Amino acid sequence: MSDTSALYRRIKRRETHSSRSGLAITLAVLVILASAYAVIEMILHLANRPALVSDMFGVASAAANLTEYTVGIVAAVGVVVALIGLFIVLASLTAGRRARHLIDTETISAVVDNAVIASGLARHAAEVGNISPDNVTVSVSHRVAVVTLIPAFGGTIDKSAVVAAVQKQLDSYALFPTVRPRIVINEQGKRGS
Amino acid sequence: MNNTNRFLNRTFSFLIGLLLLVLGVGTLAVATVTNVRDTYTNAAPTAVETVTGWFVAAPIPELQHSWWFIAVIGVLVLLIILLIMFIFRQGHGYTKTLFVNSPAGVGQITVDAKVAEQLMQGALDEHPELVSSRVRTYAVDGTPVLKISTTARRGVSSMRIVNDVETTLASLSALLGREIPAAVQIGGGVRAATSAPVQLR
Repeated sequence: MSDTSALYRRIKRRETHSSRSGLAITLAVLVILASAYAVIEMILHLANRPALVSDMFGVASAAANLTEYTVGIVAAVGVVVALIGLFIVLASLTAGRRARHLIDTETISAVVDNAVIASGLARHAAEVGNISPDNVTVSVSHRVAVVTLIPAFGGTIDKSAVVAAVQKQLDSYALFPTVRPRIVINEQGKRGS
Repeated sequence: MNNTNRFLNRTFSFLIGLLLLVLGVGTLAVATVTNVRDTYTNAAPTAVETVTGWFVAAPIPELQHSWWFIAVIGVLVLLIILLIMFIFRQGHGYTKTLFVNSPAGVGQITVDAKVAEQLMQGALDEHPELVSSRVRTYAVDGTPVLKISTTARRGVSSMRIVNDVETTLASLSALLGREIPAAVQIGGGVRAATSAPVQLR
């Protein structure tokens, strides 16, 4: 079974982290377009046809005379390009965790979207709080599930009962990493339809 | 699950990001730092002239043009082809064969992945707590793994779905006579929110 556990570890890691395909594909498409444009300009130049925008010599001399443009504009362009670059570098280095949790089970690899956990918790919280599911909002993050309940008109909600119910649900889901419940009773909240 | 080369994705993105970062910071430095600005004003036109000189010189006899153009065009076209291959390499990793069994002296038995996929699919379609499910088989490091993507109905316990899959998988393993690794993914999404409510027991 040792090779299966290694297999499942690999699957679990890949299922809970982004592959960064979207970013890589977007960048690849942009580089392809830029390269294709450069090739077209060079072929037009070789064929002695007028350039689409400017031939490569024009681009080069414009870059060489960068200092002749307004300082503010050049600086602003530099900042924007640098920020885009920084964003891409950070995206390529960070883990890219997806909004999912592992389910602790031995025989298979199981991952569940945070949204599904939230909808399960919402149903049980609404039941215990004796209110409509429309008046419960749940947001599940990596470590915490925030359950916000809006009591019915004139009604009250037994907070400890809701805490117990939500905790019981979370225990039964056997999530990894474990999620702590936080129950908020919002008396001022606007009730749903 | 699929065999997307994630390291390559990240390396490629990192290099492009770094290039933009360096270009951006360089441009900013040229615009704002006096020393850099002066150096750039002096050096850049000379550098451009040198490179332009290469393109104008070394002509190809019949074409009256530099072979530098041909070289650069060649490199760019190669780059475009590589990047298109890079894009189409994303995803994939399905396998058609679940396993091959060779009992001594009686040829070999190949079990298609479709067998397990359809048995699993058929069993999961019976479960009302799933809006939909989809079963594919991926080869992960050479091992066929059933990938079960499900859309759960709203409010359903994810553990219940996991248990359903485990039960089905156990029967499947008993039927096929060997353990089949499986990975289940439980999602919600638009279909879960818009599908009609059903009575669950």
